[in-house]
Amino acid sequence: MLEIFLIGALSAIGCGLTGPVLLLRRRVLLGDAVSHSVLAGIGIAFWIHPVVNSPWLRLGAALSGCCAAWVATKLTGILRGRADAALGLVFPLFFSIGALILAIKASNTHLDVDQVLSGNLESSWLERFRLGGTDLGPQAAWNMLLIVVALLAAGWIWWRDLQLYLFDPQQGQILGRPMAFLEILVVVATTSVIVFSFDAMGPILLVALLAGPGICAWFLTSQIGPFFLATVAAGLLSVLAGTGLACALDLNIAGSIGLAAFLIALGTLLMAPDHGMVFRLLQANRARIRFVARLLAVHICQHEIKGDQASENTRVGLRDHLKLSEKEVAAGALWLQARSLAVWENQILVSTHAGKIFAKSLAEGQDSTDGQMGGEIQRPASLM
Amino acid sequence: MTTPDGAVLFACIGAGLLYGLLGSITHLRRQSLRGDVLAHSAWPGVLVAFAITGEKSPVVLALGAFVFSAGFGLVITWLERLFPRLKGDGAHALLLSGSFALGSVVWSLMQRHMEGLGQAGLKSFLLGQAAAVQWPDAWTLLGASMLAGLFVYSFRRDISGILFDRDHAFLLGQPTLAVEWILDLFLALGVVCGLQVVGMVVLSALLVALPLAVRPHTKSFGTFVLASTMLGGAIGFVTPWLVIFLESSFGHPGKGIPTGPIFVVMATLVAIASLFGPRFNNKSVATGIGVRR
Amino acid sequence: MAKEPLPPAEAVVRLEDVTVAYGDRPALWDVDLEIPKGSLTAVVGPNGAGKTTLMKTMLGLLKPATGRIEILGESLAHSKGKVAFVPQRSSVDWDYPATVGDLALMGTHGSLPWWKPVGKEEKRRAREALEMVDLVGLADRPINQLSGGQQQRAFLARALSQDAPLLVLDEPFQGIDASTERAILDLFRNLRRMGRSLIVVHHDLHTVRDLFDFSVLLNVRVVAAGPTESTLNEENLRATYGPRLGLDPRRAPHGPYDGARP
Repeated sequence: MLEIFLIGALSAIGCGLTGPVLLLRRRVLLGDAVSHSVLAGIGIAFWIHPVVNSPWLRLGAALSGCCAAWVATKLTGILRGRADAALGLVFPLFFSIGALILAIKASNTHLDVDQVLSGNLESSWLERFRLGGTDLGPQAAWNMLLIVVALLAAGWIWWRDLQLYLFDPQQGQILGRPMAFLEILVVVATTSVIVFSFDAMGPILLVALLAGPGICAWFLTSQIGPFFLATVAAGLLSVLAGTGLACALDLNIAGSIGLAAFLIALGTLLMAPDHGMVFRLLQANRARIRFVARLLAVHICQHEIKGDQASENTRVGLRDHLKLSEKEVAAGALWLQARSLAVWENQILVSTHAGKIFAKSLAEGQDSTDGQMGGEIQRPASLM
Repeated sequence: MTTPDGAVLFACIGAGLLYGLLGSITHLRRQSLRGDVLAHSAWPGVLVAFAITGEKSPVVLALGAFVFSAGFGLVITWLERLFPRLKGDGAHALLLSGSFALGSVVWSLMQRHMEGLGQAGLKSFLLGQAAAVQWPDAWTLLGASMLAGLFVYSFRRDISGILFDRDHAFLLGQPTLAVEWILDLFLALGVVCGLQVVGMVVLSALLVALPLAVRPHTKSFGTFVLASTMLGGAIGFVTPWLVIFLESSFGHPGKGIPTGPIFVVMATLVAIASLFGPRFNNKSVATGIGVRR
Repeated sequence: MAKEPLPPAEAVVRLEDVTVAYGDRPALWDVDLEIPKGSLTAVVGPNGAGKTTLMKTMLGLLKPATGRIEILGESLAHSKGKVAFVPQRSSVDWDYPATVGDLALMGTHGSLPWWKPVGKEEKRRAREALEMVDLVGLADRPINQLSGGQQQRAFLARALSQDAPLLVLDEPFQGIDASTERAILDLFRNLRRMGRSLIVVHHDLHTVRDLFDFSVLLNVRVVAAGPTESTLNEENLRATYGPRLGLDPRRAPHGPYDGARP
């Protein structure tokens, strides 16, 4: 059990180190595409050397995964940035070539499409890594550890260039940094993470570990270093929760890890500070009340100057003239009352001295509490 | 040389027409991988429908698949609206993996608690089982493509306006939201109709490759959609014949060549050839009035 | 340049107490505005002043938090199709499969029920629109093979074929060479003579003085609105753009790596 968790955790770290890059470059589905494309390499390797479980299969898988990812990257450029179309064109082709070869050449062996595509974490620890007769743990864990160390080393060497690559690759090119090389490095890194962990995790669940924790981190931090750390942390949490869930309810482990990653990401979208759904709703509500209060303050002062406050500054008058709901008028008035800017007198909202000064400053465009007025924010109408 | 089975032939033509049509729309909406995602999210739907009813009737399973993929599609649209940074493929990847994980968890639960499931694997689901295609499958695909075609033809001006410039269409008084919804539902419907027949890899390949193949040679919305649909039909017509030819040349006795991969390879090769080949509409216009470059 | 006298003041657009907020930040605050019928109006203001927000609100693309909007004397719900909108060029995908002629026809689609095919009348309107922007020769050209100026003129043709009494244009001169700009400005003048009203988000204060007879100076609030001659003075401009007037308000901000990177 511990070994299964270890394999899962190392996969999560590997995905956590590559996921953010793919997310920021808007290419997470590259993970999905690569994991389907490896079938071509497996098919060709099997054709040449028809033995199940040979290292050649893995080499073929890695090569064809890299090849597919590279072709998709090039094609994205040819299609003027249509990464979706490029990926969608490449991966079914590679998958189909693999499936064709296997259908013709491997009809009587156990090498099956099912086996390639559905991960089996439960039995991943069966293959052992032995050195001089001593059992040093599962082979899959050692493979992943190697990948993680390589990723960390690459990240350490090219850290600054990586930031540039993520933020503004054109600028990077102008500055003479190796952006094209980083592009290939990202492709190779993604492919190797996938190839070395997919017989344990299964490709789709790798996408879960690439996308889910990355999306969590994206909504929790805006700095690049913490982004990677948070992704790894969320990935580890997903693996922990997933294995726990699977043990408790006797489920498919890889599936429940994927589900945990998905749910954790959804939870983050709901609850994250600043960007999360709940926070945004609360914020919008508070903002609306503050906004209505200002509106009321200016409005009642104007009518007090005109002298028609008796008809205009009632609950009904304010509601109808400003097109507000009764609740909003009440909440806005309460906001003003709490700051002693206005009081209700005989069902009429009357501004205090402080309220008049407040309204005057608002009308003159000096909103002291609002700081930046009219910041450049654009949101679609559907959000309003 | 023998002739292909009628049901297989017409199912392939139907699939080509349907995915050529729907693909041209998803291409213009820049959501080429949406079909793939919806296809994955149909899987838990099929399983849940089976778990609830205990029936294996295709109608029940298809209904479950439709509910799930349409629902997941709506969730994607909703997530992208609420969180613009998930646009592109963030929301798609999240929902793809989430639905598939849900599917495999449900599957493992069902294997434990239900009798007589058999070992129906993922294979037919991924690549379809064109060999086992019956006439009803062919009729379903042809019917769905007719229905979608009728809708797209009737509302061609609204659809084209909305896909090009939503705000402008809205100001003209075109029904933006309704048309977008119906197009989403048609994609889910198309995916569900083809899933059991051609499988998800084939349908996502067709959705991408067919519009890409005709885009360089067409310059109007109408011709683009029509050409993509017709190309799909043509490739669907050729594929079964090609399969028979290949089987007679390379096939082992008793082991056929699968139709799905041939379909994918054909469509992709046509797309690649047309992307890198000569173009038909690029005649240089030298006499443009008031051209100032 | 000789100026035609202002037509009798009848409002083509009327905004009352309109406030638009994103979150708790008002993008437009308490805007009262009347734009007279038949005028060529420029909306001027610094970046982030809410110019695009104002356009979108008066068209009904954004919902205001408070206030009332009338277009041509009617509420927004009834004004569908009566306003032609030319958005910023970058807001659409120019790889879309359409020819210049298709684009011009799109403007006529609003008045056509879905079961009717495009008829002679629609084609005539589209052709006239193309003639006005001088693009008839390119009617068959796909829109992804147009230059920036041609794209803008094709966009204009789409708005013209709509035959709407009011045209609203968002930054029509962005990324356009001087001769195209002049051609478009001539077109504006002609349209105005034909009795159409135009509202244009615009940057270049010089052309505003020469051409536009009505100006709205905007910086979240309406700083000033009225006939250009009396409105576009030093004092109002200072109130709109702040004390640093004289610097080009469009001045590009420093890039994040200016001088700070190897």
